[in-house]
Amino acid sequence: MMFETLFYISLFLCAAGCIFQWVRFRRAGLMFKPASSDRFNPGRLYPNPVNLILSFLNTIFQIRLFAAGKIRWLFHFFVFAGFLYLVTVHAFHQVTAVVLFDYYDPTVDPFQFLRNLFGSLVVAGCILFFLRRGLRLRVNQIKSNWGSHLKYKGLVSIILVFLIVGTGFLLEASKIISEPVFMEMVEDYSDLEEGDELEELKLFWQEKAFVSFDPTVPADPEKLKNGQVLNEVYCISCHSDIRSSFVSCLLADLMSFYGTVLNQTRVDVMLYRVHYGLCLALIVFLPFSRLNHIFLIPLSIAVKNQAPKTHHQKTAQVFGASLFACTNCGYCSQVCSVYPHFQITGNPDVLPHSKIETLKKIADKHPDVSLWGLQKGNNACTQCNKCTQICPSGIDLQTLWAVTHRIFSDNALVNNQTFFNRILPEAWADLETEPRMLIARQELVSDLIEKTDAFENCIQCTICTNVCPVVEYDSKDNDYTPQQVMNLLRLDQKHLASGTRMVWTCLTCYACQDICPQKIPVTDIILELRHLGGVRADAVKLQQTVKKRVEIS
Amino acid sequence: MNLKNNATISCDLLVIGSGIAGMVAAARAASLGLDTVLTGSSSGFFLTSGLLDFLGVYPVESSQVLESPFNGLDQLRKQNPDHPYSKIDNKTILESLDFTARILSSGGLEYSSAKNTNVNILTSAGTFKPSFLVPQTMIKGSSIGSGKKKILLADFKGLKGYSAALIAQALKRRHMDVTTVTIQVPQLTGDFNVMRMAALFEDDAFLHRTAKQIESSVQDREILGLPAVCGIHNSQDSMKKLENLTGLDCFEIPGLPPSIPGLRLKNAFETHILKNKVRVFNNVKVAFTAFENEQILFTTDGEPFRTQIAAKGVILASGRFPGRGLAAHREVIRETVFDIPVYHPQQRSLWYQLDFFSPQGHPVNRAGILTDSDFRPVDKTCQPLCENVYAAGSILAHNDWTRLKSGAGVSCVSAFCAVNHFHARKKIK
Amino acid sequence: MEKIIETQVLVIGGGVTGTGIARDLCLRGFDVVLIEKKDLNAGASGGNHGLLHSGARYIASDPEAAVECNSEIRILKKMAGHCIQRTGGLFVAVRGDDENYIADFPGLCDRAGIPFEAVSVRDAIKLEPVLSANLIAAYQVNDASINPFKISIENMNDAVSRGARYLSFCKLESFDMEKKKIVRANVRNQVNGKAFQIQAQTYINASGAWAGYIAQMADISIPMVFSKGTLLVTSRRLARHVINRLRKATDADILVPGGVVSILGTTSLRVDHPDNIHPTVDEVDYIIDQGAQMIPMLATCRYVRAYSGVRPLVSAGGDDDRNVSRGYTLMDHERDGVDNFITITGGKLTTFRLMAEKTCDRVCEKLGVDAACQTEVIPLPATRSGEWSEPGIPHGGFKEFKASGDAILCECEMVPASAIDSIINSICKDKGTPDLSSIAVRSRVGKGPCQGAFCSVRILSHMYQTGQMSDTSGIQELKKFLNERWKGEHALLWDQAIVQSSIKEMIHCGVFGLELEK
Repeated sequence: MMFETLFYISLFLCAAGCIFQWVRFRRAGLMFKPASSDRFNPGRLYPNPVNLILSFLNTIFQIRLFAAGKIRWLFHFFVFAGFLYLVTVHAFHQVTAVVLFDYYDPTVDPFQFLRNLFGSLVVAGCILFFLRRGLRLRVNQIKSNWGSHLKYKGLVSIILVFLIVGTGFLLEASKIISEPVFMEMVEDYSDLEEGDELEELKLFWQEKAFVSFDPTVPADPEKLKNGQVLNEVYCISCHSDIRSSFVSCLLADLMSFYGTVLNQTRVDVMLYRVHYGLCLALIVFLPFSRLNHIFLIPLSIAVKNQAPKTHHQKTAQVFGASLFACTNCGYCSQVCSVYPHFQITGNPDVLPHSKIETLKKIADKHPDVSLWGLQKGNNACTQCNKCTQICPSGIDLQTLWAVTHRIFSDNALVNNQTFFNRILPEAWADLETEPRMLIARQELVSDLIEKTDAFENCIQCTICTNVCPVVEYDSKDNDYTPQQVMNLLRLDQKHLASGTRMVWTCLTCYACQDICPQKIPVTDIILELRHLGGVRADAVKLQQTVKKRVEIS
Repeated sequence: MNLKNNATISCDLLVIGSGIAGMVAAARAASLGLDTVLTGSSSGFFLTSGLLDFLGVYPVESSQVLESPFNGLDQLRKQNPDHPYSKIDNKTILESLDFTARILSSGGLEYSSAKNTNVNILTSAGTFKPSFLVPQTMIKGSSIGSGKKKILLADFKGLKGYSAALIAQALKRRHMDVTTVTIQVPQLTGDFNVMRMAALFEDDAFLHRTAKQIESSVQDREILGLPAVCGIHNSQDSMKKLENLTGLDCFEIPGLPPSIPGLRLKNAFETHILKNKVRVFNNVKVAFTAFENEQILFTTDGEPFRTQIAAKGVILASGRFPGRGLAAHREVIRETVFDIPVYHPQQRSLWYQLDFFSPQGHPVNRAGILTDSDFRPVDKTCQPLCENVYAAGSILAHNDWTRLKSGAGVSCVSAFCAVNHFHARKKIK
Repeated sequence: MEKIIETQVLVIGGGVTGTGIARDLCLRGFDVVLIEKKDLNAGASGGNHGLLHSGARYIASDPEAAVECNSEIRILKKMAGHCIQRTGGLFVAVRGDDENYIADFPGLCDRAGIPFEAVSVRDAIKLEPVLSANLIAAYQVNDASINPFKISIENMNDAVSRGARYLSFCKLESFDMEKKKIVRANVRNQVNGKAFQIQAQTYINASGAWAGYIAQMADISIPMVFSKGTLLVTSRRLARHVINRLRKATDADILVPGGVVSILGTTSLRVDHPDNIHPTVDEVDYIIDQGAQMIPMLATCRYVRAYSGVRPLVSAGGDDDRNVSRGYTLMDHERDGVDNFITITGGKLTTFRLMAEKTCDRVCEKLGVDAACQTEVIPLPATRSGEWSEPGIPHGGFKEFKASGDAILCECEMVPASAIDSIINSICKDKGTPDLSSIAVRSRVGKGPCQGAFCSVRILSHMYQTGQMSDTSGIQELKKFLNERWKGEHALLWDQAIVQSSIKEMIHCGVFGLELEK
């Protein structure tokens, strides 16, 4: 009764947790809705059943994970398959096995054997997990401290699972050696009284099933044989050979050294409570633990596969559900095309797994979030789609980054290309911002903009303009030509120059620099101007953001 | 080629400078079987007119335009024994110019001349310039000088720095019969550049449309003048097509840089030179390091691939101030590779005349490197500074090519002769 | 039959004083005609630093002028703010300069009422990093820079809008005198050669350095002294402030920022005649060497051109022209026996308004008109015709400008075809003849590093293409313009400048063969 009440309380707490999380995910989705659009519709967050089934199959066999990493797949498979069996057939046997199999009993083969088998799978998976964490056996481990804050993520869940299964085994073992349990059984299922027959049965169980009796029943082959007969009469219908529970047997063998003490303290009862308690804890903890990815991944895959009605709908769905399906496995970062960007700048938010972590923090209104880092990192994305392809959780990362771009642009934190597309160079030059705050200007390698002899030698021959592919093919949108940019510098208009389309649409083909009869490093100067403009733009954007008082964080 | 750091390249002849002189020197060396390396930048061709002059004006004081270069050559040699032409006979000069025309032809660009006489080419300022070797696309224009032809001049709306009306007015001063037509180019709007214009000429549809626009202005006209933007790679074909479409003779009028005929010249030279296995280090500047065992050592600039070049001979064709072969300082003019003494007017106040268009020219334009009769730079005692260093092209002293109209001629001739001499000396050894 | 133009006042000379007088008179309700033998600012008004003195430069040599400058600069900042850049000025001394002068400076400034502020050497170098490390003293004053072309154009525009007539390229040839009075001025249009007459009540000689020659026509002799000053223009702006050398006024001791360039000068060299002056190599070298003592970068930086102006000074004897007062001279020639003739000459750019005011006061007095000067209270309106004389870039969005099909004709200074068209329109409105030189006066054309090599041909072609020019004078026009540029160029050709000029010669002599054209 007590246990049942606790179970329902846990279920209730779990349900409450689910609701809480659901609200959180939904809020995350709404959090990123476009500020300006009133057509925004959070969309149908419930994917269609076919997709759900398909993605559930993926969850069981973890096909995506198999494609991404074999070791990780292996322990996932062990733990997941093992635990799935234990939950369905063992924990909830009342509604599954008992209903399905009329001969079911936990101590009957094959259930006894299977329980041990799957339990040992879970344990093996957990051990593999711990070894992998501890020994850093990750494939293509990114060599940096990028994941230090994620080191203990997911550990609680796996420890919990390990403890549940571990206590399960111990519980089984302690029951095996338990004299009181034996006596209860005898009382319930036989008509044996104190006497030789009981002694014979005791001896049989002592010899064949490790039960620790106090005092020990003296061995006698004759009695053992009789015991076996008695066993066949009374026990065998409900108890398969104890050795089929191969793990517990082993444990019981070991425990039987202290059998008397353990039996006297009724360790089996204690273990049962612990085991049960841990299971309830798991239920309560489920919505908040890493284990939720078991449910979120199929959801996110289903969402991804589902054709959205509008982009906005997709936005909300993607954010609402799949943001939290991420398990920080890091495969995305290992394949990230702009990984070298991270190596040079040290900005972790270049990498997808870190970006998604930051996005989660933003959704949770976490106080210390570097929007700048995320914006810069997200700008570096080349949309190569590799992260989406490899993501074992099946998150539509590509769309996520695209939406992130929009979040920033809605909050005045647009990327520089967009920023300079929106502002006219003349207006840009008139802005009264000097980039001294927040971002220290990185030392330029050669500082050509300040070296007048770099651009002053221009003889106005316009050859650079003539060979420029941007001028050739983008003449409508382009404004100043390369040599006019050099002129702007000579006219002391470096800010104007840094805001020109030419600077931001330059393909860096170096045709102008190669052909210049005066050997002016035209392209190098343009790239430096881009850097200068970028640094100043950051300051301007920050000002605008503050002005708009949009508080994302 | 080994591109490893500090690799060393050996060659027979190193040509410093990729202007006309450098190109001719490299081509000549290759034709004589010398292992040749060419350095420097060829982008200066964008600033040239594409015409190859020989000697257009002499004496300059009286602005005497020469009908034939040979009419002034003897007088030039007599009055100016240090002029590069004074070191060579007429036969060699013609041979070198012929050689130049041949290598251009092999590079896909035809040049023609008019039987040892100058041809007068109409420029976009409305003036006539005496030249010698002329691209085929311009040669027909020399016939208008007689004043008998009925001329139609076309310009393009939006093409900057070229106006048919301006040229027409200048021609009317010479009592010529000129009409003009302005062609609209819908593909190009606003501030477009000549390269785009030139590329359009390689499109047949554009030629058809252009011909159609000219149609109504043709009437009794006999010859059509166009800005020198008629195609980049197939200018001769484009011209022929346009002639067929309009039924008029067509010719190009050279004008402001960036010059498309100059670009064609560059392409033709480069095509020929690459075909003949000259090793070209384009956009590479070399710095002289040492003389060593009859070899001259250089390093190329630019980290991290500094290459050593060891050459048995050097042709210095690095040009004047625009090519940075000469560098002027407030007090002195220096040669930039070897620091060879430069002949120049001592005080800066004597460098230039007060009249920009002074017919006798500015004294500083006669500054340059003094050489012996084999084009080897000499010291004060008129002895060659080095047995195997030659100078060629506009860097040579006593040649004010802007006034004499002798730029390309001196470049071709001096480069040709210098390479010949180097080759002959090598053979004797 | 010769045409006769009648007016109340004829102003001779279209410099900053002449145009200033024209506006002042118009504001007082006079009918005015202004004649100029060339174009606006052809004389000293176009050949100076473009510096508005705070007065500190004259505190020792001419305290009176210092006080005048101090009050004028305030008025001009208020009345013609759009022609002025409030740069502020520095007076700096380097090791070796006269220490007594440095010590006296604050006292003298106080006496003249000129505001100044002592600056530590370190702060001065922080303000202007180009200053020499040998700095020993620095003071901050209220100098400013002015665009002399813009102020003349704007003054004239305002005068014309109030009824004045401006006749450019009209040279005064003689006066018809009758009974101690000038009755008519004989004028010839320099462009078409036509002669005509102007009949006025009063004649004002505001011809600057040529004042002596004009007065001569009325048989009056003015002892003029011509002092040539040469200035150099750097290819870019080196400093934000006006930098003066803190020493007794002498050569090459002021560097003035003028928009995107800096102007270094000047020299003082006695010449016999104000016409046909040009900078020489010796002057250029001397200026650079002197200037480099104060600002070392001046020895190495690139210069785009040099130009000379002639200071019109009225002699008081003595040899050093710097000792001749830089104050203005107003002469009512009544004392010389010509009743209706006034000469105003001398003075300096800073005090041009004051000179105009005093001259006009005298005119009022003579004609018995009671009208007070209003240039002190009515601000000079900003018109658009002066805007292209400003260095810099097209205003408004460049993209729209491009989309409109406009093309940049002068690449160095980014002057578009539309600007050339509007300048030509405004010249035509003044009945002038648009040509390259007059366009150059009103815009930055030809003032960049290429010194007209490319833009001259582009603009000429544009004018022919649009029918704004249709005669045979194109080649001559081109030659004239390039030669005018050459005057300021030939003395400073080395390093990059010689590269640029070589290319220019390559195009115009090598390809076009312009030297062969008569």
